[in-house]
Amino acid sequence: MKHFRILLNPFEKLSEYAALLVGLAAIFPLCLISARVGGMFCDIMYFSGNASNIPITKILALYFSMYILTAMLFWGFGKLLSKSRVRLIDVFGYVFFAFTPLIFVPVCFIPESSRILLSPPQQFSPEWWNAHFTLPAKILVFSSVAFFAWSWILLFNALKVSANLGGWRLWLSYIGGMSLSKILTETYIFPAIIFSPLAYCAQNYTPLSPSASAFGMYEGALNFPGQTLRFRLYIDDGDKIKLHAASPDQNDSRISIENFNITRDCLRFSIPTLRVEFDGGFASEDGTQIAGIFSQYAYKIPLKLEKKKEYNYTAECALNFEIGEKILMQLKKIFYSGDFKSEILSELNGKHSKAPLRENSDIAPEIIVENDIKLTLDAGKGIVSCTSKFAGAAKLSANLAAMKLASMLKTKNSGRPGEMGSVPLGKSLVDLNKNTGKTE
Amino acid sequence: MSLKSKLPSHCPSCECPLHISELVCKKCGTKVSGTFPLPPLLSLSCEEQNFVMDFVKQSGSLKEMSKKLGLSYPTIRNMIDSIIEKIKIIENSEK
Repeated sequence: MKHFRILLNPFEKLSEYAALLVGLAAIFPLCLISARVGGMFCDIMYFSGNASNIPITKILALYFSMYILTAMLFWGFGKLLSKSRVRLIDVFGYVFFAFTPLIFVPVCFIPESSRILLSPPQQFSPEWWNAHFTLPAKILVFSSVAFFAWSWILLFNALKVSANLGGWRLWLSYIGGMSLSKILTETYIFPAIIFSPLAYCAQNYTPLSPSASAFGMYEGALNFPGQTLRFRLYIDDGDKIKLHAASPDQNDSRISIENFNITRDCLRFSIPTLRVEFDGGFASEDGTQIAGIFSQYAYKIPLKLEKKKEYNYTAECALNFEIGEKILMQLKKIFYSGDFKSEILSELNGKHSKAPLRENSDIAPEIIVENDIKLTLDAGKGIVSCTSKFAGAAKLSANLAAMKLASMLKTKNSGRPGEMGSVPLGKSLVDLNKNTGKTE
Repeated sequence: MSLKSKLPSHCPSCECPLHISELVCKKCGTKVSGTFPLPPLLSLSCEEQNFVMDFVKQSGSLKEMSKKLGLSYPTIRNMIDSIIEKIKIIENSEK
């Protein structure tokens, strides 16, 4: 019991200098293991972040900044609320020491468990856990929470001893210091460290040449601290220019951009609901590149988008259906060369799922894919109810992202591209033999 | 030297502060009667009185106290601060 107490509060006996040395010494292995595992372990709210794209020097700077900021805040609260003389060395030494248990957290994520960091799911469902983790790995990952808790208790006692606080003053200082540290590091300090000042320098924008077209789909990568997200910008022509944004790594659903300004010199848009802003312009005369600064919350990220090339493909399709009715759907021999990820959206028994075309032949056994393909079936206005000869596929759900792809599909029958986007799925691709199930 | 038994500072019956009513000279037996308040230091606990004694003997050095007691510097400082607080309260209550 006595030893247990010392584990939670060693500061009554531990010298402040020794504590500082231990804390400093622990940062380096913590950084090395974090870089190895590919995750940042600043606190439990942030432990699932992917640090695989962050250099080790920056990981070191991130940990240092968090330690120093927390110590400074504790010291500030101590100065304000304590009647004792609060020394900086006491607070720094004990706070640095209190973060030491974090060194055990990345160990819990080695090696099998590190996949949680490298490809975190949108939602941590029981199925996802069971599919990706063995029982020992699960126990190991969850045990990491204990080390966070240990660190928090040590921080609490570090503040208590170094600032001689008690009662509401102690709790106020602890909660205030921890919360402010969290807010300031994540909103200001981390972005400032991760994105070098060069990122904020003006980009070289090139006005679009009069002959070039800005319309099309542009894609780039958003390197957030902790994860990289693909970002797509759709600039569509029509009665009036329309902009849409989507991220294939986050549902891929298109978000309409209402606030935008696009000229040959600049491109600006904002999505207020997501607190997203983009300020940039074309980076090449031919309109194949867009560059600028993507801002979300306090993050300012340089974003370079490249126009995707026209797709080269041929397709043979045979569909028999009517919107709202049960249909028989067959897709045959779609040959496509492009760089889309292959997946098909399906809705089966009320559950939405994504399945790679190549791997799940139950859903679309007749699709033959060359290279990577993203085929998304679009019903125009929602879900097409259908019965099909594909085992298990009760419904194929629509995805707006497919509109563009679909509009470019050439069919064997019509030989004309472009009809798919304006009429319901299938009618432009195939002849309709309602309920016959026969194909061309 | 450590204090083995503590002079009671409060009445065990009503818990009011006790006062000294008589002082005796061990050599000649002279007795002085009156009402004398207890010095604040005597109102501290035995451990606290011992701590104060040690602190004075270490010339008031927190570092030396830290070494002597095997406790950290902030802990020693906190102990002194709590004794100071206590003495202030005792002094105020006497006023």
